[in-house]
Amino acid sequence: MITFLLRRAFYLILTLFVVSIAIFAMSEIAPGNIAINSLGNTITPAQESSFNAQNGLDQPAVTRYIRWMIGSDWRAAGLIGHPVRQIYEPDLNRWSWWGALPDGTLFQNYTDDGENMIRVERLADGSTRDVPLGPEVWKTDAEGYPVFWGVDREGRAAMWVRGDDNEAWTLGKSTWRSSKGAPRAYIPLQKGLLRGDPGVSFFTRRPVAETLVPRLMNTLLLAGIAFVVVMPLALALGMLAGLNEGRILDRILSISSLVATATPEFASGVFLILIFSTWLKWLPGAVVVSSDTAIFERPQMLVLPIVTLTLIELGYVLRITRASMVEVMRTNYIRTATLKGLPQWRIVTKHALRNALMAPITVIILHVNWLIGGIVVVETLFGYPGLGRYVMEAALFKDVFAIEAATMVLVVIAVGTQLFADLIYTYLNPRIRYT
Amino acid sequence: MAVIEQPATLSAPARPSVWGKVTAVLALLGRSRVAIAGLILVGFWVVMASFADDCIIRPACWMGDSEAVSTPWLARYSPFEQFRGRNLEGPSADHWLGTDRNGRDLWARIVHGSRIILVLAPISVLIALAIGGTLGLIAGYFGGQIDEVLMRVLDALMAFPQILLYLIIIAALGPSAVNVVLAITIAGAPGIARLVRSLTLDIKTRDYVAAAQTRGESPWYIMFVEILPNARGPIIIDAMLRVGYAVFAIGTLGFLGLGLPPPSPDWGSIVNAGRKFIQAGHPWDALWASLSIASLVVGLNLLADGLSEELGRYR
Amino acid sequence: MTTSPGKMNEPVVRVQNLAIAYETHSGDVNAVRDVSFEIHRGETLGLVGESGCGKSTVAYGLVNYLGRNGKIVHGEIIFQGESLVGRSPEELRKLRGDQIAMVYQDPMTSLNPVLRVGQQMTEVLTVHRGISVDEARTRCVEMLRRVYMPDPEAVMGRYPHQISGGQQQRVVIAMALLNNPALLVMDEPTTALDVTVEAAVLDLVADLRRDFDTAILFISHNLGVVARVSSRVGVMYAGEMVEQAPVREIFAHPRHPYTQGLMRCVPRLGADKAGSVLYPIRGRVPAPDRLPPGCVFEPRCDYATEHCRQERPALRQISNRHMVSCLRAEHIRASEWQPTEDIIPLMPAADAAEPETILNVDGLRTYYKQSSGSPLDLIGLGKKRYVRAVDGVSFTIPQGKTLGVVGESGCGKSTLIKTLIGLEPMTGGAAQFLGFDLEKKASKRDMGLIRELQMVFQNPDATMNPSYSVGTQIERPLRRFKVVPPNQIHAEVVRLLRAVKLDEHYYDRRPRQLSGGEKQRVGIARAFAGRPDLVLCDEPVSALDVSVQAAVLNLLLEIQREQGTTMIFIAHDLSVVRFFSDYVAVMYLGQIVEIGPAEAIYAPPYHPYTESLLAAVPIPDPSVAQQHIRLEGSVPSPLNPPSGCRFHTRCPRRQLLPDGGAICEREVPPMQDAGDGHQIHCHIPLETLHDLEPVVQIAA
Repeated sequence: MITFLLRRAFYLILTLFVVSIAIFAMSEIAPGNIAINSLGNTITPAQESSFNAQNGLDQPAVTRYIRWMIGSDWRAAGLIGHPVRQIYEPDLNRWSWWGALPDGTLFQNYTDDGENMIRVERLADGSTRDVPLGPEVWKTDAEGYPVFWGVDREGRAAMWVRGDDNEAWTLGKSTWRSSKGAPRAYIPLQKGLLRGDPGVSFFTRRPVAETLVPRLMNTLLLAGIAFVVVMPLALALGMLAGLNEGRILDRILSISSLVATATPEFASGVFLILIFSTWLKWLPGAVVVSSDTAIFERPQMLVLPIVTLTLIELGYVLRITRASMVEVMRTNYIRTATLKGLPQWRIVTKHALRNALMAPITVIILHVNWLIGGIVVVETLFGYPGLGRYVMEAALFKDVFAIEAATMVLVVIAVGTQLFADLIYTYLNPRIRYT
Repeated sequence: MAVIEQPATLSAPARPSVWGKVTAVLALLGRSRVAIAGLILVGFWVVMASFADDCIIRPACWMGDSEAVSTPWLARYSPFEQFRGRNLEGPSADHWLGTDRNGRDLWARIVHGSRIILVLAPISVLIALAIGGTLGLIAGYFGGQIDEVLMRVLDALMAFPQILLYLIIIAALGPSAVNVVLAITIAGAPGIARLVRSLTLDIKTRDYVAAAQTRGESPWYIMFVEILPNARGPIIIDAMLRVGYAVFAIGTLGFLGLGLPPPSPDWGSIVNAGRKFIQAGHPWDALWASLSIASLVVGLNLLADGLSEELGRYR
Repeated sequence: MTTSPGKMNEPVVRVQNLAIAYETHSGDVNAVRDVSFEIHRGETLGLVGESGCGKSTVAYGLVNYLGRNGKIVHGEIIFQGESLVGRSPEELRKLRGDQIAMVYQDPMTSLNPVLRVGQQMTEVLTVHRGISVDEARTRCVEMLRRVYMPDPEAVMGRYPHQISGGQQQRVVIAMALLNNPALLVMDEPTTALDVTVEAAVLDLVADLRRDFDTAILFISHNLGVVARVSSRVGVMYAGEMVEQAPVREIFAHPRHPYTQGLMRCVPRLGADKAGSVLYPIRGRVPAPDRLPPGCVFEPRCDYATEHCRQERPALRQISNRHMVSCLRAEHIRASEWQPTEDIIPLMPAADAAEPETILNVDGLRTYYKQSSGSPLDLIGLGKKRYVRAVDGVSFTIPQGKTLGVVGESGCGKSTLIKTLIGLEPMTGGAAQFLGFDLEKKASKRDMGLIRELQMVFQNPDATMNPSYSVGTQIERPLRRFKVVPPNQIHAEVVRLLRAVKLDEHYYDRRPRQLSGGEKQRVGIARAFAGRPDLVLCDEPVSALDVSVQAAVLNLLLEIQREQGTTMIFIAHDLSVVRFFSDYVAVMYLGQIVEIGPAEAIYAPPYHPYTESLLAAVPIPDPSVAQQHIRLEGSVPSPLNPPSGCRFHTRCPRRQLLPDGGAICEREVPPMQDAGDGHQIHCHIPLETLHDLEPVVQIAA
């Protein structure tokens, strides 16, 4: 049994690895480049190359994949000679990277002339002071150039070359600014996806995780309620239909579940809005909230999205359960149970139930993929501030780190539930537990 | 079940003609009320799509020639014609289903929308069938390392929520009919491959496959001549369900704004455009397009359901 | 059991004119008509007949478990003096599992895979007797012990998949006996089991009948099995009971032409093709919806007259306790029967000079890799384990002769011929055929070799591709091997069809329109299309009814004689192998334990394993005395075969050696030559083996 689960877990990790490469590759091969997509097509070639260098986009794909997965801070720390640290600056309402001296002082660097390096030290109250550094900071690199690795004012690891009069463009609040004495090379600092930092959005200039987490919570709430409503109901009704195979109750349940599951969420959502919002005026037809974290302001707003999501899943799970139950009731061991003279309720609860649950459980959980599709549609239709709408918007705006991160989160959820399904399956099936 | 021991009945005419097969299938369908209901729904839309305008009798039109020169038949109007001053109207004798915000006739747009969906959905399923079917046959028949590698890749693709696949592909390549087909093909092929693989694993243990191997037949002959024809039943039923999913998916893409670019009368896009007017008291765009898509998907599902039930019963 | 004294002579169950029908699309189909019988306490009624004759329908009719579309349309079932027909479901439920219990064909699927054996057994008692679970457990353990289950307490805590097939059937039987039922219905209880396990289960059934005084309805298609356990036998044909008599009487003096036909179909143990002939029954069982108007057997009967065509005979008593439904029963003498001209008796083959060897197999090994199931496997570091399916097999076959291979399932006989034909890769050893090396897989072999080496398969339903017509499938090898010029292919197919006794109308037929025997004939035509020199037959008749089996065996013999084909013939039925083969090899756990001329194998000296197999064979003749030798335990895993002699863990003859056969565990047994190519691999000296009593006393 342990072997079985380990094997499954191993395959799932392998799957996740392949998926992460696939996601990365797909955003790679997308036509158009990130700079133009993010900054508009009015930028000059010089601005574009500065942007690419500063964001690591000039690096080979493998390097960028590694940075995306496991971060770049450890590599940068090695070059700088000091650890780097990410802190939150409340006054500026942003996260930024600093180098850390052995005594704990945080610093960044800049130079105006390519000769005299300045160290900006951050004081306890958030203010800074400039400390000029001597010429001894320049170290000769492998190719014989005198270089200095530090953290620039934007919070990137950067390499300056002594006497270099490099010009670079940086994007300020809204305007491009040119500066002299800029670094020659950059390593954008990030902790990497595996360490919970999927990078900074090129659009909002904010860490992706910051928006993603509350959105994810909202979606989990929506899907969770739907799941809790659907599962017991669908399993019970499916069993009921399966036990009454061919009778009128089965017919009604089968046909209505087919209709429910075959109707796209946006269609059933429209019907529900028309009936309950426009016509009966019982429930609001959209989710309007002041912020992403305030979905409980009016709980009745959640009803229609949940019902829409429930309908399609209910139908699907019901049909699978019914089919499984019908099959189990035709098996020889049910015949044995009947001819042992057991009462019908005992046959159903003791002999049929567990077998009938075994087959659908994996299929149902695989359906989580489908549920995610439903979530995107439902969130879009009702304006619900969840992960589905987030990924949708990220895709429309080609916000690379946001798409990648949101997709990975959704895939991890999908794959994680599969492992969960395997656990349940193992529990239900003694043929795997005792081999 | 051992209860019913009946010897095989010796009957049926010798070589069944194609017509005989067609009637046999129809007779089979006729037994199931579910299948008949499905056939009526699907048939309705097939007729609408075929005779929306005179396109069916002008080969130039099939090649995607401008529809502006078409003469409307069942659609009554062109789906692009804008009636000035008649935007956002409810159903009337002139405009059976009403008009949209640009004053275009909704009936014409819905009827023409069925054509788009009934062309794109089967095409994407056929391509997915060709790719997935071949991969499934190869994985199932050869087994071993090939199977292992293929299945890992396909598992990874299936672990991917389909909607994300659509989003990423369309976001990367832009919305167009070709990309919609591409997205649905990529999303559908792994499932088909899995089904065909499991059927192949079953069928390849049959003695007639061993007999072919002992004749020294090539693997390709065995896969496509000995195995594939015997897997057709489940594949056809699955394909029918998949056309339903494809319609579903095309609608969803349209709804998310990733379908065919405007002014194409794509059902999903009509819902998307129309939902803004629901609260304003003009639910017609969203309602009709939603009903259409729901009826078509339900029809396809009913058909597949009825067929598989009847086939299962008389196997 | 509370049976009132007045009813002591009453039968436990009396069935009168029972008729059962199934509702189908084209109306009701009568599966069983006018069946009457009674079973007394301590009596076993054996019900025989070929598939589709309604045996199982009768059994399930008794407990009114006929599915949603089945119904009793006529007749009476009196159980312990009360009618069962028309009882409420609740009343029936209380009888089932209490007064009437059942044992089924496939024990694996009859037990619930997710419940422990103990749970499944105790509930029979707790539901019907209302006793506590603890008390029920005690009684279940007792009952398991009663059916000779080793380690019953442990078995109670196991799941069905954790015990062997024979043990599963013991569990099902024990479960049926828990409430000491008045009637026990057994539906082909040993069909899914190996012959040695079958013998043990049949012994058990006989013991239980004696000890529990139960009335048993025992259903089987196997005349030998029925002969061993029954006190009375009923023969069913096309939904009717055609003959019923005490077991010795019916086997000694069968009166119905169908019963007589059945007996002529099966080879007696010890009979061979040179000295005896099998006579198949012509035609086939009619479908229940197209029965002939008169006697149901009339179209296939050699004695039929116009009278038989018009009048349906009733079951009538013709002598003491012997009942038959034949209008002409008094006029039929089985001994005076002459085969009609369409059944051609086979001429014994003329013994030519010593033929040359066509196939030479030397030390052949076929191993399957199996993962050890450890987590290390995931990264390819797990220890590789091998299933030694065939492990060092050597033999030769002379041209034109047949080698029969016997052994229990899992002994490697199928793997052996699959390796020879190139379906499985050879792990080691060598095999030479007509100067070709058989090392490569079929896909890499020379076309000339492929053509000379063909195979006939076991399962008639899988031997033909359902998608293509009969003609297309026979054409394929003709085209591929370029047997005849393309313009003669059609004529050649028709010739082949005729050769397998099918006419040319079959050319366009689809497999689903053919019966099992016809499919098997087409499979034979296909295998012989390229006129191969060596044909490997993998249980070609095991899945067929006995009357069809005889016809197919005759056909194979005839073609073999015409074409001088050499054959390897696998079967689990020792009588059939004896009849069909010139040489016989007995396999156990991947090795040949004994090989030699067929007649030598079936008489001492034999290998102890051969002896046990022969002792287990059910013989369709209750007058034959058979020694009682039973094997203990089950076949060990071929992953890790026992050391020394592989049979030492189960050998009933080990004590013949000093130290109780300690040498058997240590050393691989030597090959002992008993002369005439008869080889026995055993530590026991030939002389000792020679002095063993013959297992079967075959009447001259």
